[in-house]
Amino acid sequence: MKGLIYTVLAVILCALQTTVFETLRVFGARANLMMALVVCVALTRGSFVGGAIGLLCGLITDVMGYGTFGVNSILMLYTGVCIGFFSFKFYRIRGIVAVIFSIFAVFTYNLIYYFFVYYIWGKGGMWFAITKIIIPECLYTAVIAVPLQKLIIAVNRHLDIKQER
Amino acid sequence: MRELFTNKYFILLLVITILLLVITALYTADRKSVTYGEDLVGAIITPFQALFTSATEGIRNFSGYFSDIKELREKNKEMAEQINELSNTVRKLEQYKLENERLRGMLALKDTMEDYGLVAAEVIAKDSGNWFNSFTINKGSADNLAVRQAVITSGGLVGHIYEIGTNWAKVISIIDANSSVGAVIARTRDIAVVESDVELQNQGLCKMTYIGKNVSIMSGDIAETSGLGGIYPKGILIGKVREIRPETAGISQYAILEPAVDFERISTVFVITRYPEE
Repeated sequence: MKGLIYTVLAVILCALQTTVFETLRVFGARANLMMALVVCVALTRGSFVGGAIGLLCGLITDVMGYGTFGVNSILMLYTGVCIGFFSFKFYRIRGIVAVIFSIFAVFTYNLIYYFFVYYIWGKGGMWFAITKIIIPECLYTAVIAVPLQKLIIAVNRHLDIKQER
Repeated sequence: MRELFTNKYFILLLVITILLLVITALYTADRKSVTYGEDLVGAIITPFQALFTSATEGIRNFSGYFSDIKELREKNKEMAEQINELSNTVRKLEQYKLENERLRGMLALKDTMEDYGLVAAEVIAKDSGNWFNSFTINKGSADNLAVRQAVITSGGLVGHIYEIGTNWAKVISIIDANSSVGAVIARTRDIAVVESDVELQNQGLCKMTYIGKNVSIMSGDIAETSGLGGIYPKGILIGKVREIRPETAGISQYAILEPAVDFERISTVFVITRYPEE
């Protein structure tokens, strides 16, 4: 049941990211909703579920976006697995944790992406990429991660109660 | 270390990683079509994207209606003053009309396009990340579209289809850093290549490279497709030269190009499905 809800959520967030959020750009950047979902699920559910949702979101991003297939899948899979390790340390999840991990995850993901897609081919300055693309996306995603995390915690709690009954 | 390799989650992670790397390696090879899985995911998500796009458009129009009422009174006042300037505007419009006719004649775009087969499509989604400038349209192989077909608007060249499903197609725009278009400067007939980088792409611009130092290119020059490369037909308007800069090595120069198409507000495009030679 949870798997189905996460899948539906991933599909809806992908559709929102490519349509509504295109018009809701902040400083030219769009929020990375898929990455926010991976971070929030990994923090609340641990490495295994985090990795699984990372793989799912990565595959959807690869299918729907441009670029070499598999790159997003690998990056998001490992993001989910790595952040999931911290779920036990922050069992009383607070918004600030989601903000910090979102910034860290989006920054690392974009830096790796920039390095392999642009930097090694000599297509654009690193300073521009960091200040005009990566940092605005990190901050925007971090802001989105807070309500998204609350939504996921609420969904988890609701499903847990239902399961106990 | 041995414990790590007996951990079933670690083995699963390793297997998935290897599988993804194999898929990535296979993907980099030149493939003709998408897999059934990709087509299925595309078919599931595109209706959502179409729904959200139309909803966003509706909200934008609705909110615009109220802000328009606020401005109406002020505009009415302004318009009364503007009536006096209308005669001047008409004269300017006559000039624009003449210039437009001259440009159309120079590029012979109108006559050329009559021989092409065009399929109209709506843009339903943009790329999911901030790194690429690609978008999805609501027509696919069911509408006789195919990979590597050129995409244009009434303004000029947009890009080409690089991936296609039954009811959707993904288009890479000419301002994407991974795109390159064979171009020709309309006035001098010198050949160049139009490409972009991460900085220009974010500003909605591109650049025309491999221009010899002796070529007398100037700002305002028009760039059109050269027909070389096999994707884009000859004579489609790409854009206008904004400024000229020397290359670092100094043996050639490049020009910053302002595309004829406004990629921020692109909504309807035409896919060229048939060429005059066919």
